Amino acid sequence: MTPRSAIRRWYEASASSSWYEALASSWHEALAPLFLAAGLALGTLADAVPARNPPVDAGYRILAADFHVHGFPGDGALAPWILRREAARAGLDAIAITNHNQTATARLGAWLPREDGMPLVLVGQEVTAPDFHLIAVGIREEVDWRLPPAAIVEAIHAQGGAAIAAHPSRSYWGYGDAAMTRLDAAEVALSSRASRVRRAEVEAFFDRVTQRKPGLAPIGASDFHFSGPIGNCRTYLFAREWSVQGIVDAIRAGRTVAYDDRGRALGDSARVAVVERLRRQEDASARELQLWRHVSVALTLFGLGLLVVRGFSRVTPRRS
Amino acid sequence: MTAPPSAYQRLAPGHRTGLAGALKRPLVVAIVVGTAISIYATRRATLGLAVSGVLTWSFAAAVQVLSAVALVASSKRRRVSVPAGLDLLFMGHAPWSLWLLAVAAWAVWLPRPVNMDFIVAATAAVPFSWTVVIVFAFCRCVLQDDPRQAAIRTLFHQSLIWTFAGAYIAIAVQLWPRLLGLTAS
Repeated sequence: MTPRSAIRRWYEASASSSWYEALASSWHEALAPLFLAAGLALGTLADAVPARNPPVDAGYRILAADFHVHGFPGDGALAPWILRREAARAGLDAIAITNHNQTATARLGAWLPREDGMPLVLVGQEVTAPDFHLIAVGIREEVDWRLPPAAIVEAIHAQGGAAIAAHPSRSYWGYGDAAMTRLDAAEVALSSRASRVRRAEVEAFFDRVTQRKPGLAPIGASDFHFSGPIGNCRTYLFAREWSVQGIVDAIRAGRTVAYDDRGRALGDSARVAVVERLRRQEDASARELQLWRHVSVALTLFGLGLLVVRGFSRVTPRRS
Repeated sequence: MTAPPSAYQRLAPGHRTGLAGALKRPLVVAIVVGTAISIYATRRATLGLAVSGVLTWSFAAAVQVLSAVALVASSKRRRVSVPAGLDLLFMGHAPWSLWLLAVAAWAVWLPRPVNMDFIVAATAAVPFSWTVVIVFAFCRCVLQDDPRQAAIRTLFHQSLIWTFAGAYIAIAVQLWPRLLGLTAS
């Protein structure tokens, strides 16, 4: 039997089958919205987002930040107002929304009112050029990706921002010497889901640039698009103040410690020791209602599933 | 779900609905898409996440409504009105809806492999193929097309949707500079 005739035979056979009519029961029509509402209500009640209060050490605020987050509209799943809340939940004090060659989403995020203790949203851009990606943090408007690499870094600095080499594995090494010595920072702590080769290339890039520019800030970032979590790789900053200016100054001065998602730290050893102490305290105080979260997701998905089946069961009405 | 031709053959003759009724199923699709994406991204379900997800991703349902209207309205031999045709076609959204829910459940309860987003995209081949069969059956049984016309019309409908999706993705990920990089290397 050829594939074509098999498909034709299945198609004709399906035209006379009737077993699936059992799906057309009615009990789930009433229960679907109930399950959905119960799941969302339970999830909302169990959803505690603690306000942030970054500690102070030797005159510096120690801020946890994720400088590589994509949002909607763009190639991210979540709207800016949700990203801020997710960042707070992940224990972050700041995020930069960095969509590819656009800042509209980030500007919306930065414009939205910020409650006390909620993370700062920095306007950012992942400057997406043919042979490198560069994170611009603390800018006001788009930077043209068509400019030469060194001019892009200069344009970021002219807006008062910081320039961070994004996931600089070998295929993103097209900076050229002039741009490399002007970089403020480079992502060096990548997710463990990145390949070993890629992680080694990123570290090699960091070492190479550090030889030319000592004090280059190490950065850990999640590069969040659709599957998270935000802040699984993160950067701790020693900032004079919890503000955009304070954060950009800390990056440009190299006062950062980068963490990957396995808890590996990169940075000045004295600063790493301070951050380690802080992370131990945060781990001890972390409380999440895991059970209720799972129950609420299960109820919600079950309710949605019933809604879908209900909608489709109308395709197969009972014969009268 | 498993036998779209017989379902459409039986449903099409007496199916009537107004505009409001025709938009009920697209609304369910918008709720499923928005909530499933929010759960996939955050591994939690709250009212705020669901409402935000539905608001932001409802454009996906809107594009499908416009494509469905174009498909139904362009047929001269259809057995139903445009709203009824829209309603019947959206009954065939189950493959994509169930796939979205399955993917959201996977993100919450199963280990996330390396490059999960790409693996998820690859599994979309299943609902895509299934949907093509459903739309083809819809064209045959509701729009009364012959097999060749039905195939062309199915291609037209899927092209409308995927052209929009492709354009959105190309702009969002900035495909052009990436292509320049590929051609230069």
